[in-house]
Amino acid sequence: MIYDFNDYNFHVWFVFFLTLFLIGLNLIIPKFKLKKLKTLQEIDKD
Amino acid sequence: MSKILKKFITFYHKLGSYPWFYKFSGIAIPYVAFISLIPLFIGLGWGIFYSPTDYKQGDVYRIIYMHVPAASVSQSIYYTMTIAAIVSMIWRMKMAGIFIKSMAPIGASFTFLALISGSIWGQPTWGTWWIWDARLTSTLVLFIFYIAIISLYSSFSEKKSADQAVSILTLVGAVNLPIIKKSVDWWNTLHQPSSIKLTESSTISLEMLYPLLLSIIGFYLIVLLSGLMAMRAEIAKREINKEWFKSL
Amino acid sequence: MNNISKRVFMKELVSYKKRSSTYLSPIVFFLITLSLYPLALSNDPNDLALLAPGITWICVLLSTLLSIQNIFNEDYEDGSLDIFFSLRSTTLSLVLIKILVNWIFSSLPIIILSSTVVFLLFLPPESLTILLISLLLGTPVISLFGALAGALSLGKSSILGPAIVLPLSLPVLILGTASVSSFLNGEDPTFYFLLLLAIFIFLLPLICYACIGALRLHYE
Repeated sequence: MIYDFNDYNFHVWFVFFLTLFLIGLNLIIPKFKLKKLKTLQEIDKD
Repeated sequence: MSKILKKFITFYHKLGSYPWFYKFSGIAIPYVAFISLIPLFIGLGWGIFYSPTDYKQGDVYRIIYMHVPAASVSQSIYYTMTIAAIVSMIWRMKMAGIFIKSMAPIGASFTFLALISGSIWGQPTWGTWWIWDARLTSTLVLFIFYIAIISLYSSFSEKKSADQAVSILTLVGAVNLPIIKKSVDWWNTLHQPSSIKLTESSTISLEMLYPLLLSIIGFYLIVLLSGLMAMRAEIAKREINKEWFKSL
Repeated sequence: MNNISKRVFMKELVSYKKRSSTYLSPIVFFLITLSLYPLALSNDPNDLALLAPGITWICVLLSTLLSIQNIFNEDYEDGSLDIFFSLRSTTLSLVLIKILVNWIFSSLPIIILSSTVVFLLFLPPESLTILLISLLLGTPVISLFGALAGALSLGKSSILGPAIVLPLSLPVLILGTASVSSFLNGEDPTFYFLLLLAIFIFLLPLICYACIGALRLHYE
């Protein structure tokens, strides 16, 4: 019994993409912050 | 024995140093990213595509592979924050304050995920988005605690006193959470709102259990990864004008 | 030591008496919110009697929120907290007195006023004593949380106070309303009273020390 791709299940997919979105957000925000701080520091050096 | 203890103590002292942690997390992050993404993707992929359909709920039950790990993670994050708050209050370890500050938004996001996924799961299975069940209510309170901690932190301009204030609030919250949980349980038995029972003792089949365990492990490792990254960013933010950071 | 706490107590009483808005606004707020419920829900005495304990408790909780900023704010602004923190030995008694006086001025009038719910919300008169006892036991705990929130959010945005106090006081709300409704169902409410008392005794030292820690942050 394997999940049928044609059997579109809104609930599962919504939660799945929300999960990916939140995990991604938790990873991207600190990365972006650090990048900004590093570029600030580079500007400071020059 | 004393050698191990000594090593542990030096590790603890190193943990308190910003440059050491910054360098260490820089090395560790790619590895942690690598190990965390594997169980997460295998667990979720296996759970969503290959695990058997539940005979009662149909395919909707697959939300369990996101909901249960999120709920578990959201509580564990609060426990680790409590430990950090104790460390920060007693030993004034600066890194503990950074830990609480970085973990609170992560905890809030996973609590949010647990609430939303729970209500989306509830809609087709119980026919309602929300019931005032004991477990749902205490998760909601946990979410409010996270929000209060985040907003308290942002209301202070001085980082050091913000760390201490947030530690106090985290500790008071940790002492109160069991009381709240217990009282919500009483309240729930007093006004049994509907015949819906959330905590049905069901035996989960192994084919469903393995992907669930994998995705729980994946969620914990992802929390570790995002915690490391957030702490690294926070250290950089606080130490941007320090010599060691400039010389990197 | 004892002399200082006595003087602080008298000074607090006088300063509350002078600023009448600090104790009048919770009272006015309480009466207004209480009278809104029948208008919004229904004017049927049977419905209201059923909801009366919960409505009263919610109104009490919300109106005590109005006063939590007053506990430490004035002393913080005029600098007298600074002086008390230099006399390290008196901080605990200071915090205790401030919480006590705040309770006397913001919660006690509301508790007395809440006996009007017998007429306003048709609460069965025989359960009034139960409601009053539950309020007497529960509001000190709310005052403790209010003091902590006030100490943490000194001179800060006011939304922080409710965000801290309301989730923390959930058990008090639950146990307080449960005691009245269990009495109306013909059960013994002593169980809930003892629990409320236990929560208060358990939290009193903890919150006092947390308050001192939180106040000290503003002088570091």
